[in-house]
Amino acid sequence: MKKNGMTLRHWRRLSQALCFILFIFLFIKTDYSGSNEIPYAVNILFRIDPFLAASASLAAKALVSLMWPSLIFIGLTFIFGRFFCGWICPMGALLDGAHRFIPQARPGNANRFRTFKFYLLGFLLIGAFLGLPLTGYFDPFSILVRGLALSVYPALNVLTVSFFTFTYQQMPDWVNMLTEPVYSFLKATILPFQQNHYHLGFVSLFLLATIFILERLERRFFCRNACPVGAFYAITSRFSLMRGKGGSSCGRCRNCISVCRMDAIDENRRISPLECTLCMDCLDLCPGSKISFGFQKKDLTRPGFGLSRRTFIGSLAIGTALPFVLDTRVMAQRADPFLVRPPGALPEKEFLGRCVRCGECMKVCIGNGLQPTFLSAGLEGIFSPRLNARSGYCEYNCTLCGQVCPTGALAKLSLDRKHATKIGNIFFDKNRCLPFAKGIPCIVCEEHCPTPAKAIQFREAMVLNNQGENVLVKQPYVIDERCIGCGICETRCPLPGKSAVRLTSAGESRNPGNALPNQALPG
Amino acid sequence: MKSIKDKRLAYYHPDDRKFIPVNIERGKAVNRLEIYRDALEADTYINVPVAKHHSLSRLTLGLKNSMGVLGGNRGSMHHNLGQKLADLATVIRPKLTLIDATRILLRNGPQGGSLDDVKILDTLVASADPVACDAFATTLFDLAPDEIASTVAAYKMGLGEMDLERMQIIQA
Repeated sequence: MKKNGMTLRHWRRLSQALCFILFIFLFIKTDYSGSNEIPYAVNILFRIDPFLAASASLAAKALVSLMWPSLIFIGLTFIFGRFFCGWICPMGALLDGAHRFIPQARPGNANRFRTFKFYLLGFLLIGAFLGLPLTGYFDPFSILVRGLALSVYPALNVLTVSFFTFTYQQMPDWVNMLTEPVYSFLKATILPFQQNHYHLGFVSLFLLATIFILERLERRFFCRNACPVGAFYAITSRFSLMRGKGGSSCGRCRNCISVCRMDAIDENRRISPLECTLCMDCLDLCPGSKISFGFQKKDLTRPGFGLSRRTFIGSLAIGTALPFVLDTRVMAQRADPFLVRPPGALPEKEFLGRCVRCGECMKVCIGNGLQPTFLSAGLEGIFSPRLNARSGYCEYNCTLCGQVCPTGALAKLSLDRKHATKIGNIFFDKNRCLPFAKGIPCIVCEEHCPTPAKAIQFREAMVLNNQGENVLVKQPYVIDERCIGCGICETRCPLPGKSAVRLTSAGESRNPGNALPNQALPG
Repeated sequence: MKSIKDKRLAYYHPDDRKFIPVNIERGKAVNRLEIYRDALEADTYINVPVAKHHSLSRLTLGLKNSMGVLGGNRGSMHHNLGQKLADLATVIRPKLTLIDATRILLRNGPQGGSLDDVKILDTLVASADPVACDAFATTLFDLAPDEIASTVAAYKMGLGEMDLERMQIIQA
């Protein structure tokens, strides 16, 4: 190897860095930028993921056409092996970058969990097919984007804004001459459009952090042992054309074995294409230059997976059995009435099957209305998006969530179709609503109601107020046929605490079983 | 914005750090509001409302449009709105009010409505007197100035004229 030039290892690092920057760029661009249009393919990371493509297609019982880019990467893996994990994956790049800052625990038996990822992959895919949607809890990009979107990125904004608020309010003018342009620049570039607030921020942060904590046990612990995308690529790589060839007649220095981040090289210096991510470290560090990568015609013996047949069948059996347990719960009979799904959401089962819990829709939501669900959609529904209308609403003239959804769990709607898509219906709590309960005039809900002919109307009524006087007030009521469930009335209700107008999923277009008494069924 | 191509021109989303509490000395219904700093400190403040229907104030004109510089709990403005808008007008004093009545929204405002609710007038109403400007613009909706509570309250506080007879109305 040349000493001064760019070696393959350096090219790999450059590729990792560029892919990571691209990933962060697209992440930042997953935001409102002044128009109801997302100009970049911000969800591309999920759409090239063959594991998610397989699970979404299995759940939908049809090929999900949005996911076609994953085929490119499956094809490339047949040629080059598991290069994605070493050269492209932003999670891998982060782990490699962070590795030196994570103190190592005492080395244990490294190969203990090696096959776990294959069992997990089998379990997840058969579960996806039979209706157990758990893929989003193990897919590395779901974990990464969700952790960044719901926790890290909003926290970065809190930190930055607090700092510049301090300088703005407490520092002399000459300091502000320096800091304010920096703040304006950050706001125009890397900071979010607005400060969003999310449920489960800590949980998503903790899940992301776990992957880094596991790095203490061994390098790329998650990639070696758990990552279902890695498992998918490993299976594909078994048939790949390009292979690393180790030194069988070398000086036995074991440099390659100890340097390999995936522990892909065995005692006889054979490189397993299942685990090798083509990071090229061994190639550059082998003192005898005995290691090479190439398309070897001979020696195409396929390595085994080292799987226990019994355990693999067991994991498939669990994936087969668990979906039937889901239907024993009350929510299979009657869903939580406050579980309101975003516009364009498929019917619930299909929606949960396709949703990969990536959090992109929540990040892009202008009204900060979409929140990760906790338990109201069951254990398998955690992190799926719902509209929490008290803390945020669905903007009438916005279709961004459907534009960023990588799997079509939220359909991409035209604005006209969005306006005609009912996600729920409101009702008034007359015990709290001011004109009913206290004879105090208030029209805020009607004022904000965005439908062309307002869904909230008034009746004038003479009522006794708390002083015992007869007063004429406007009392609001809802016209169900006009309400599309955007929830802005609940968000804007000026009462402290619980709103006097509540949004429920009643009448949602996607579920005829949830129709209102007088609702015409879509024919 | 872009077609004007002048670097001195800029527009901003409101910056949350810039709302400052202001005592409303002459206020009858409200005595303290959080107001956007730029609106208080600007050399010249020009108010450019789009004339439209509003379910509580009946119309959104100049005085109602000034709510745009408020931070804090804006929902609390809605009780006794007319007087509170007049109170706000004691501290937010535009040098010019320019009411955009090129297309006015007659019903289902301020949000909602459809093109059927829009009437095209191709009219701009301008005045250095914010109350007079609102009073005249009210007539475009076939309403009388005294039907708008904020106009009446501001007139009574001596913030401007609402009697159309006493205005010099110039049509260009």
